[in-house]
Amino acid sequence: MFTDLMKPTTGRCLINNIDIKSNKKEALKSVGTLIEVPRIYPYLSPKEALTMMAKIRGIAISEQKSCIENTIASVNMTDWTNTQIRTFSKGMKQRICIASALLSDPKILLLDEPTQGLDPRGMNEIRQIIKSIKAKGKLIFMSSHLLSEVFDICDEVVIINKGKILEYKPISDIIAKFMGGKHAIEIELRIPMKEEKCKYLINEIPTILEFEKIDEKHYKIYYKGDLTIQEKILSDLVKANINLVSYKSSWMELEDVYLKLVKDVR
Amino acid sequence: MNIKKNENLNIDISNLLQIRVIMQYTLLDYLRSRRFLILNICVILISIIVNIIGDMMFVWAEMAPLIAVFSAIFFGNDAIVGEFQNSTGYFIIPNPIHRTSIFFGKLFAAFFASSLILGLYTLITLGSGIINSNICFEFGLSVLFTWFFLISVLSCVFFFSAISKNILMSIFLDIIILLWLNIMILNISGLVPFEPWFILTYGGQIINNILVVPYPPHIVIGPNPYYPKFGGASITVYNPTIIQGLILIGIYTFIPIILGLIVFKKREF
Repeated sequence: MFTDLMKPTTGRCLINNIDIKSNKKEALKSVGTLIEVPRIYPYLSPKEALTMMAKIRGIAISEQKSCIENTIASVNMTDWTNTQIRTFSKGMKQRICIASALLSDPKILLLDEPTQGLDPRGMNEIRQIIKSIKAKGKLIFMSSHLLSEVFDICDEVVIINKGKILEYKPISDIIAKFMGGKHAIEIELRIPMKEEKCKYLINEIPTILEFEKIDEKHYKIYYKGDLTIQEKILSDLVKANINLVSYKSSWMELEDVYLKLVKDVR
Repeated sequence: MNIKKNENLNIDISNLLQIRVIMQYTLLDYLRSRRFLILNICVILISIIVNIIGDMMFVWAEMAPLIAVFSAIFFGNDAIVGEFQNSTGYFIIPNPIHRTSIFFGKLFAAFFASSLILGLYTLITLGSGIINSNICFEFGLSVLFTWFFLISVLSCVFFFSAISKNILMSIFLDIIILLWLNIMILNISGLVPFEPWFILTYGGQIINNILVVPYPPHIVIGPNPYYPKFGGASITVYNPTIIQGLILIGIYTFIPIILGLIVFKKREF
């Protein structure tokens, strides 16, 4: 709706207080968008497609060349600047679409399922680009069904079910609220370990509240507290000599929250 | 990324300029496409065949509208529905540009691409006419009417493209309505008889009639070659006047464009 792809049945869509329906050109001036994996005119090159977009968005002729070159470089596509897009993989096309979204240095970025349909390498590339954009302080709205992706990239989350907002909070707050203030960490062991043995070792660490087996090499532990507690747990786990090879915050808890919320609504 | 925040990155741009940009790059896409190459090859082949078996000038009025219809279908059938089916709309629509500008940009691009195809056939015919010394003033008028006819066909093709769910349906509507139904009604009208004043092909007959000296009368009654197997003893041929033909072509230009635009503006992804 914010991008004129759908029409609101009721209400209004405002961007910077400008109604998208009555003044689309003004409302979308400061917005860059990437909707799934769009198809660009296949017989154009990235340079031509981005020149078209630069002209549509009203970038001054004197700025167009440098803008296009910079954005193409930012998505690592400089070597393919003059190659026709029809020969590109999905990931390459997606990088060009991101370049198009960034072309006029928009204040707001709307990303709808930006990694949908991409292979793992393509997904990773796009996520790294999004993270680099985020690091530059842009306001990014991203919709995704991949909760691991949301957990990896976003600071705040809106959970929507059947068109209704169920929750809107920073990720840490939402998890704390629905998980009773507990946080989850996934650990990976180099050598498989029996649940009882692992439980025995982990029980020696008082800051760990709960413990859950995923498989014999992967376990999930729950704790309450801030990053210093998390650091302490890591240090204790290393000391416990359980052949720890990976220790990371679990996005699964976001999935737990999501499932809980959706279940409550049903 | 090294983009500096700059006032020059968001200059107000007029709708007309945006239409020109869409037209320019859509046309570039068309000119490099296989369909453009295929149509050019077809036109050259048709020209060679016609030159071998007869005189191009005599079949101009038969072939030119057909080439106009096929060019319009080739370049226009997926222009609107393709935005939805191929997701090209996801690239262009979420930008500060009105859907009206996208619609007209694509329409003009399809018109120019089709004009290049029709222009090639016209040039070959003209060349043949110069060699055979049978060019007349009316040929110029016939060419002009052919271009009017092309605009009205494109308008219809864009309308079908706007209302179709997918490209296949759009092609189906183009072929059924613009080719089969129109020609069928025109042929039946002579046998029944009734004046097919409501179909585009009837208006398009001025492309042929203008080359007939003197201009044929509105109604011509002659013997039916299929009698008694089919129809009555006589057959009636209706010829639109030039004004009648132009009005019909005009109606088929404006109404489908307006309806197609309304549908495109309201359609959701």
